[in-house]
Amino acid sequence: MRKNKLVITLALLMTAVVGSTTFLSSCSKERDFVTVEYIDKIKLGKLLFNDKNLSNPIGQSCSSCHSAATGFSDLAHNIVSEGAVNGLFGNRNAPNIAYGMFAPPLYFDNVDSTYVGGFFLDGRVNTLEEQSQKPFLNPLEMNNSNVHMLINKIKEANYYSVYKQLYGELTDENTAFNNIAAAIAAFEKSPDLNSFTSKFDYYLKGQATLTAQELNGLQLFKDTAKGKCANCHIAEPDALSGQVLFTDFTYDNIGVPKNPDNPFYKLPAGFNPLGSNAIDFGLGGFLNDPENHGKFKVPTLRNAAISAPYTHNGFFNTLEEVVHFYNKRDVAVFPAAEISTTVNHDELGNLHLTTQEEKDIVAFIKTLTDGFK
Amino acid sequence: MYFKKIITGLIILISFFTAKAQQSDSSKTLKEVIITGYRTVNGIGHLLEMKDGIIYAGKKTEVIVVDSLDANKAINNTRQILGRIPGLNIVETESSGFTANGIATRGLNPTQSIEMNTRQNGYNISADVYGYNEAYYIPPMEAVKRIELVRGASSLQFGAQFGGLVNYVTEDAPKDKPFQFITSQTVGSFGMYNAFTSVGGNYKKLSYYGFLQYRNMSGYRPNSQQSQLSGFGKIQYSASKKLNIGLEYSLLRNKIQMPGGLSDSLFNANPQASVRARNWLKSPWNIVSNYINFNPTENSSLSLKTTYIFSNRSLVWRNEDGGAAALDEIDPQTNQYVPREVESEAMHSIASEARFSANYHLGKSNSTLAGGVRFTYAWFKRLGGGEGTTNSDYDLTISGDWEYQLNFTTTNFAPFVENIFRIGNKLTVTPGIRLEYLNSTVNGYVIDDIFKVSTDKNKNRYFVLSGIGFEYKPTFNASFYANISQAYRPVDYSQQQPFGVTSIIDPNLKDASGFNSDFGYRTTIKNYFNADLSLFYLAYNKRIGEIVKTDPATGLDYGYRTNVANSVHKGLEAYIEFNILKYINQESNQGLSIFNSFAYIDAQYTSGAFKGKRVEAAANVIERAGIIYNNQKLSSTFQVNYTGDAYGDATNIKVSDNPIAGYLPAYTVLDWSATYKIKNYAIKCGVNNIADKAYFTRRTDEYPGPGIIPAVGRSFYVGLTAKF
Repeated sequence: MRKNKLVITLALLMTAVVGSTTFLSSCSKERDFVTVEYIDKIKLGKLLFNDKNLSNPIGQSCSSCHSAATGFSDLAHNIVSEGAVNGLFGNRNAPNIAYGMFAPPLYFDNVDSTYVGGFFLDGRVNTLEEQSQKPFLNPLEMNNSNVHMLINKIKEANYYSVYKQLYGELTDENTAFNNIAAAIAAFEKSPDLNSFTSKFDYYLKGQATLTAQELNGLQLFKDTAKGKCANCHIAEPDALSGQVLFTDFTYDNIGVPKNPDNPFYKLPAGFNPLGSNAIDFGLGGFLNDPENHGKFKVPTLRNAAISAPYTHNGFFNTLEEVVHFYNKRDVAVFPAAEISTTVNHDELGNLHLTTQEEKDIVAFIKTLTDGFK
Repeated sequence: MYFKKIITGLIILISFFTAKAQQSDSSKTLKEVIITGYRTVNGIGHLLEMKDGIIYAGKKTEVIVVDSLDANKAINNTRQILGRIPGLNIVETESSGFTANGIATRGLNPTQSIEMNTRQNGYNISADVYGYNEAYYIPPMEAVKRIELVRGASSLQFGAQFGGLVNYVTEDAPKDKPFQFITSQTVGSFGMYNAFTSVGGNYKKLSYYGFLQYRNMSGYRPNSQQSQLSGFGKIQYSASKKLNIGLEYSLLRNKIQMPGGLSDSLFNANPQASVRARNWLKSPWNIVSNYINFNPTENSSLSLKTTYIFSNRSLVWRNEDGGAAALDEIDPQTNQYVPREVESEAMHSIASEARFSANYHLGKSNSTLAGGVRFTYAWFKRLGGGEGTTNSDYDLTISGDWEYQLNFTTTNFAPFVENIFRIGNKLTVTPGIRLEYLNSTVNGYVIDDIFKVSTDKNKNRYFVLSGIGFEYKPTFNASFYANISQAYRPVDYSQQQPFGVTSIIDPNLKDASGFNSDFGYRTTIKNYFNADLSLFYLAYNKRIGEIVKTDPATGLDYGYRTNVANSVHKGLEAYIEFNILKYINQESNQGLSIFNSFAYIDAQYTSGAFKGKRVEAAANVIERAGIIYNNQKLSSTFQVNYTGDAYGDATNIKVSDNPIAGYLPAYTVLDWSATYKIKNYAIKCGVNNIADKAYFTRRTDEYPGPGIIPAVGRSFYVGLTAKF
């Protein structure tokens, strides 16, 4: 009898133990999720960057002229991009803004006697934040009448909750405008725009091999006696970032002719009173300094292969054309420079490159497109 | 001296009844064993085979009767209080940000006693035994009656920890006295003032005990301040001899200014230096526990303890940016300090532990069955990386969002049972088993630069821990003991925390597991000789660490947290104490004891990248020897403490820019304490670190550092205790 009781007691205890454990574990289903996303500020910046509701009329976002698919230049490869208002165009080719974050504020380098840094092709603002604010209020771009108009759109946006989580309830519009700019700048500093994933980057890390043609192109690119490209499109790691940026952020007049196809020339007088006689003075226009007339910021060559057309007015449609222009500008027949007084004849114009060497340089530049792996 | 008489009385009583145990009336013997529970000479001894329904047979145990120690209890001097435990490694950080010094044995990590199962009156007092096993609160030693330690074999009865159990048993209501009042006032070096007051008594079926302790000190180093209030209250209702119920509440309130860590060069130049003046911590702790003890018969017992811990740990500090040597200075451009970092952790834990024990006859022998079940649910919120103020005071205000916000939970369900099988009068065999169900969840995010790594995990695990202990008693006062028990250490909260955008936590990350084993001999001869010598072997497998792996697709390196290595810890632990005067004349009113506590520990990695290297913080040799003189009024102890060298991390590198890595040199520290009692009064005084040795026991890459955390130099104390 005692034995039976003991057996029953033990069986009950075992049942209780196993039952409790099974019950507890069945209440708790296993899961293992890890997600990596941008911090909220960058997420907001990306949402703002891609929001077509922020223009007047709606339909144009930052990404309309700076698409990730084309190295953050115009997806349609227009000479100049059309604004939110049909028929209105800016006067310059929408540049590839990837890697723009590395530009310093504009300053004059006394050693090299040149201006360095700044944002936009003429260096007229000093920070990414300032730069990101301008297109919202530019009538040729997103065309908001004022900050108030833009802020109202932000309040209506489905990501306004993200804004509030980051910055609190929107009260002061100018503060909000600065917050928006900060978020967009944060996005522009993210790996989306600065991924360093080109074939050349992997080559530098020993994880990719350049072809013989690409290597020859690289050699010519760096050759200070021949290609001279790296004189301005620096091919060595930048002292501050440690990355190869392919620009020194200086300004130069490479002698680009006027582009007669630029639709800007046909804008109403209210936007372009000089019509086809309009001249783009670049940095010199901003500084009101004739010595810098016709000079534009040296762009990075990263993603150049996918961001045609080229130069500030989209005069060239292919890399081959650009390289050939650099090689033969002063010895072959080309239209006259838009501003001839400040053209750089020291580093380009007659490089003595063969046709094959031009092709090799282009082949190398094509290794600078992100997304190799 | 009154207490000494009690001890002597207890020893005689135990000897008598233990001797009787070898005869036939075993049930009566068992009852007496339950009442006494431990056997000591001069304040240190071991637990008997059964106490409060818990089996200790075959295990390596120690018990320290705190009141019989000469020690600086006002500052909880761990060296003097627990130092006679062989191989006890103490990390002395109490003066620099931690609220209690951490302990460990056998080359395990002593930081905040994370490898121990830390209890007060039988219930856990660390934040969360499995996920965040750090002991911030321990009771003030003036309120502790005895400290019980059980080495690794405790894993079956108490929990899975490799380090075993340490249980601080607080003083209790005085028997047959409706009211007792004790107050103790102590002053000491570095601005130390400690006030301790307790009351207790019995009235009919009710008993009560409570204390308040207030301690304030400016500290050994500049930029140190410490104020602490500890409190405890207990009320018990004894419905009958068979049934009592009680409720306890413990609290800790504190505010600590942390002087930060030092680089090697800073320490060598001046161990009292501090380059952090804006680091502060508070760790309020609350523990509510109720219990019910029921002894339905002389041979059986039932108990249930339920404990709720709700605590917090918040700090604001200039973090490790720039390392320990980086000065925290005002930026001339902003005319301000850099913003500090703020962290805040809220800890909650509910634990219920039910136990039963029963003596029964198995054939012609008495057997004892003891078991129980433990259920724990703990939830823990960790906020950190908040950008704090540029000010210098305790201020948890942050601007912006937390850099990480994580919620963790742990659910543990653990039934366990052990049985003493008595074979003849001399041999016991005690097998046991413990089933552990563990569920861990983590939910939240960690920001790494521009990325937010979010995690949502839920993991169930089951463990079966088994063990067996043997104890052979050739005579009534000596025994050989041997045991082997499995243990494990779960993946803790920090290890579940994402640690980088590209870093990965092994989805099959296992909890560290292994076993502890002892073989030893112990004896207590009357009131003049006590010895316990044993060999141990501890296997600690599947230790968790981080390695660098390379993504075959991209060629990029990334961190990978996984089970990286096994370690083996083996060695010798020995304690010998001999009272010369008692040996000459057992009835002598005076005693002159010499003791030596010695441990040799060989703790090495046996696999992984650090195979053959010594386990971090594991000293090879720890020895504490001393001499104790006492008579009816005076008691005095002089102790020499030697701790061998160790390394800060598994690389065993001696010099490194990594603040946690580097050499931990051996050190010898001398302590002297004395107590003089006159009727209801006692004067206590002493000197700690008599030779003013500059040394340190810890390097850290985190709070309260980074860098070297210096131990305290020479300090004096004097106190007066009155009992009414």
